[in-house]
Amino acid sequence: MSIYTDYLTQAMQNGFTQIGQVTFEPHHDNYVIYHQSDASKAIDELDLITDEEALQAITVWGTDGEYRFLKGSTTLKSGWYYIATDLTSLVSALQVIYPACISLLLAHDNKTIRSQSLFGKLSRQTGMYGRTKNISQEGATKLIAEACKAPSCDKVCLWTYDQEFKQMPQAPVAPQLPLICQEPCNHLVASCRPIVKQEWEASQAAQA
Amino acid sequence: MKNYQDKGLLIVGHGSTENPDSSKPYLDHAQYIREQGIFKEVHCCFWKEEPSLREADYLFESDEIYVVPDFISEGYFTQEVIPRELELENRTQQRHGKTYHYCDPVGIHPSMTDRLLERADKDSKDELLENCTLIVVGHGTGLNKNSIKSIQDQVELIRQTGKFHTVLDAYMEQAPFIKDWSEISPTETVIVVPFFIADGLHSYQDIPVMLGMQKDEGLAASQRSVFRNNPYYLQSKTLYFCSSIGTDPQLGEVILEQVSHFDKNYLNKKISLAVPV
Repeated sequence: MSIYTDYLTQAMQNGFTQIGQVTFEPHHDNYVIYHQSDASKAIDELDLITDEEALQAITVWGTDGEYRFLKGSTTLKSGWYYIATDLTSLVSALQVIYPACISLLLAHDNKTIRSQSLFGKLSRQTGMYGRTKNISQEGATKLIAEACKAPSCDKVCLWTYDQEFKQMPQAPVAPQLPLICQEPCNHLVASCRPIVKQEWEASQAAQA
Repeated sequence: MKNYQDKGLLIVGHGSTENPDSSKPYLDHAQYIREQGIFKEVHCCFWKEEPSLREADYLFESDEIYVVPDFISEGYFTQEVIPRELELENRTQQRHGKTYHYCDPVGIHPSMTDRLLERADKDSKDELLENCTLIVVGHGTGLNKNSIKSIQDQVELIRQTGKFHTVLDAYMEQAPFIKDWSEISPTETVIVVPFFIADGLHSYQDIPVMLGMQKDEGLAASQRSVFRNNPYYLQSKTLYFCSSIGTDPQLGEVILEQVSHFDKNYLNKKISLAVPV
């Protein structure tokens, strides 16, 4: 048992049995995880995933055929189920599908989570990302609105362009546990680069 | 190996938003170590994938965590990016209620020489190594002058073994360039070993284009039915292109060796991670 299994036990007792696109629930003496869109199917209609390596492989390619480098993307493939033999395995499996998901929820509930705004994150970038700190608030806000939503990523952000929050804007409602985004991902930082370039070129054109 | 049953191990990798194979070696190394039951917890985090370096904190219940950069070079990432993202200023540092020990990257461990030799020998089939040029290829960058040191060190160590006719280093983004492999190699047979962790974007897709093996980047390694068809006959030479050095799960042993190295050399000492100007 661990602080993570304790958290998940409590969450399940409170009726939380879903996270992201998957459902997890007791199954005989074990726990089963499956895609929410497979809820109406019999278990023998689904493919058994036998280990975490195979489970991780399920998360790599999306239903759109694209590489799922953002695990909060709502393109998780369906048609499978995974048996976790105990709570430790259940936490581990859920964090294979959604990295750090339970850990972040626990930190959020414990009020130990540390969030950072996009501006804060960009301010500490160096190298090829160093210039991203020059993005305009308008450009950044538009980027966040477009990139940080399903199907690209369905996480709940604890940050905006220039603000940081300790708590989610709304309390989770059973059965769905949210996926938490505690600070902008590297993909979002990288996405700022072409916008900064466009903004710079526009400013140069305006001066000409 | 010392017992680390109440401690955590964090393996830091690069990852990629473009290549799906980039993170697999790190996950394999973590699993290799996990199965040995040495540490209470073993997790990975990534620069470009999830969980991120800033999320890594929350993964551990342990109060004491060893951080091993699963990187080839001691350079921009290991000296600047990772310490910054993990908020580490010293080799050992307490922060947010936990103690972190920041180890050296795997690529600079002396045992990497044997890994390179094994890889070159295995992937070049029945070639007589003494007739071959071995090229160890890395990324190279202008961001940190130290980035190619680990490759240059390995090349010198392999030269000293006398097993190859010639041993060279070459890079993607700085001279000597890997695209000039044929001109810089004095022998008819050339073995190229990518000094990378993964068969990812650079080693599997970019470098083959630079070598002239293929015209464009093509599919990722995991999307092809055949990994490589060595040897290749190009520019009047015979070329063997090996898998990246980090794709061997046994590289997990080097991670453990870097933890031991930390305990022997850095533990209980205040050593700054600040990069000398």
